[in-house]
Amino acid sequence: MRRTKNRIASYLAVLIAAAIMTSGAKAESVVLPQSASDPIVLPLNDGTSATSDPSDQLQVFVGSADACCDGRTPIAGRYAEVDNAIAFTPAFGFDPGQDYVARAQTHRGDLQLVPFRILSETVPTEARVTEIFPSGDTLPENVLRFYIHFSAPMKPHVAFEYIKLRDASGAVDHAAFMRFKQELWNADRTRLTVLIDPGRIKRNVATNVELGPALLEGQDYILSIEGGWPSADGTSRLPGFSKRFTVGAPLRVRPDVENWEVTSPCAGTKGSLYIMFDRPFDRHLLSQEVRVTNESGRDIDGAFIVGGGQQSLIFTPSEPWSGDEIQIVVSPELEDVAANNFRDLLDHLGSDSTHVSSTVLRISVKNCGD
Amino acid sequence: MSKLANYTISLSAALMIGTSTLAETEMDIKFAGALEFADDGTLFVGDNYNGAIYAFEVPAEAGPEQIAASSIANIDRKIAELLGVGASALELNDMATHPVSQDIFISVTRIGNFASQPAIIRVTQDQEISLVDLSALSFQKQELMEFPEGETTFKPRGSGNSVPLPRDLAKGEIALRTLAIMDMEFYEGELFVAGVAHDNFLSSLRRIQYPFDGAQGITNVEMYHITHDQYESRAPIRAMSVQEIDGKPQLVAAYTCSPIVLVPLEDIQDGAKIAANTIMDYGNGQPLDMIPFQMQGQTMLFVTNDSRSPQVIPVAGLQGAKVVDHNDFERGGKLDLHPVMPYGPVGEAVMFDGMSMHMTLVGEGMLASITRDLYTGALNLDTNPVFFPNRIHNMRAEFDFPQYDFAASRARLE
Repeated sequence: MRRTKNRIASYLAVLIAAAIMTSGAKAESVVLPQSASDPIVLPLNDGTSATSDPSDQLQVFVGSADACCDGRTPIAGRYAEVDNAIAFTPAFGFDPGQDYVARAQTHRGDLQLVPFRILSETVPTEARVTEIFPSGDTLPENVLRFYIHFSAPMKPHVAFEYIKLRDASGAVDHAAFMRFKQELWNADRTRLTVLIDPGRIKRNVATNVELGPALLEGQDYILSIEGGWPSADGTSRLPGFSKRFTVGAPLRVRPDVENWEVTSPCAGTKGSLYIMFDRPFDRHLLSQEVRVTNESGRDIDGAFIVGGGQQSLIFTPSEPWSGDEIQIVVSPELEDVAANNFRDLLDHLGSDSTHVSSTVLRISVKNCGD
Repeated sequence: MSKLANYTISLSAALMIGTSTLAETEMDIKFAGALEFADDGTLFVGDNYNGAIYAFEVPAEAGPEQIAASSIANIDRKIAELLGVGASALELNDMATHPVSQDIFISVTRIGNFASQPAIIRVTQDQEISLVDLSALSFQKQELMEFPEGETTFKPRGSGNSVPLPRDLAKGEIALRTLAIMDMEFYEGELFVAGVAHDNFLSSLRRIQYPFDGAQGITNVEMYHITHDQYESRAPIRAMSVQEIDGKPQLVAAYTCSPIVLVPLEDIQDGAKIAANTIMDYGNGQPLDMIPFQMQGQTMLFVTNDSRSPQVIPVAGLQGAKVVDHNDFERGGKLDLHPVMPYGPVGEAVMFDGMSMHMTLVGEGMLASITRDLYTGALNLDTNPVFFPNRIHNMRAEFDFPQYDFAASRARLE
């Protein structure tokens, strides 16, 4: 309580003084709150005193100044009156981001409307693209999913006004992306999932036949996010960003851990386990769908790092390696960047149903001696 | 004017703000839920978060002798504006009438950017809406024993065998503790509180002396539920009233889907596990309020429900009512169209225009209701005479035709 009082005191002192000094004795403008707990202050004219009901001279409403304020209920709060200022503090403070309008008496006696807003106390983060996955420079012709990461929550429902797939000459392919009614955001709206229209990827599907694949092997493309996209809080706009990549051969066989290369770690050390893939995998599934276990299948505690281009994984155990053997256990749901998993190809074509991809890789722990 | 003078003045303004918010005792209420007034104007507020009942002395001057019908459109929006938020950031939790002033008190939750806060709103009979300054009222606080933990949530279920839809799953986000203080009834110096208690969430009745002296008891209540054909010990009493039945004061208590039971007050003893006396079941749905009122020279109970018409139950019908259990029925659930339903002295379903979310009796003969209008979706605070059908004039009927001639229509019958 003491601290609050001091805060308000110093706030009022500085602001009223400043307001009156800058506008002279004819101060008529309200002194707006700068933070949630500040009051709004109406300096009064010399010789004028607060009326018996200060709400006649100063009221605050939620919402915009349009059509204010007939039929609207003013915010409840406390008035403090002195002979040349009225201070109003809302019962629940001011909420950052909320639109308010003050109705304040001018020195001429009429009422003016002053719209205002409190900015958030947290410093807004400038919106920018931080990462795009897959991050490799060469992507398979049938790459399905891109993850675009932002530094700040972004304004929704406008993504495809800004996200474009261009060929090397800069021409935009307007049918490249799958458009859903809802954009595919994570919970805090800092990661957007964008899909190349699967109809353009799956062989023999109508759009694939009519328009051809969106990406062609051997060509260069640019995934561009154009500048100007507003952040969700409206405080910044995205600078443009583009990712240039070359298209390589499509991934038309199922992934299989037998095609991975793994280094054997040394027993009794916390040396990292390096796993090299034969292809890039989905960045977010990689961090969920791969486990390292001991011989009996019990998870070994440790940390994963996804390597560059999502073509490798590094696992460092929390405790030194023990036992003779470890297992890398992969969920069959893990997908490569073309959304082929260990059970089936995305377009179900040419998959050998008698062959089951392995999802468990057994590694000997080396005895490296001293 | 010198700069120094301005500093002095501003400092005194600040001191005024500071002292005006100082309360003598710390007011730490976190949630304003169930409301109940004692006859002297003490307002009991149930706090489901702190696990406590607060009793505020609310001084008041006598209200008007005759309560006029009134309507405040969009009461939720007006309260939200008063609290400085948008209408979607407000929850209306309960409503009660001050017995002296006839002012209407509404408990609400203000949903802020980072925290929800409780508030009590007063609506006078002049339709003035204001925030009650709880810090200016003297109060007592009674913490509740065996208050349940706040982590366990409802188990969502789908309709029949179908998987739960998003709306059903949302139930899984709601803490069972929200059922800990469902309704409160003040009777002869004691506060009766219905809700779930203990960390296994048993349906309970609490009995607390007022003024609070720390004395409180808790009783677990089981009852036979006719429509569900089972004994239930978890789902709590939703709404209740104390009435003189069979020569002794008894709680008349309404449960979800919708049995009504009697519990003699003498049975509500600390530590007891009791079986309530099931006497009726008026059909599925969730009861909201139970309001005793006088009509046709007798006491009636007006029971609102979130999914069916309100029911008017004459208390006379509860005298000598047959108490039933599972031996009185064939096995199996009783759906709405089952021949045995509705069972017992259920009274009559009556017409009430719109769906009442909260209701309270004002004066002797008026009902105030926060009512959802079907056609506009608005939440309005309407005060109307206790009369059924209620607001029949809002229907579009024969009487509304300009050509309608009452005398002619009677003459036809001669």
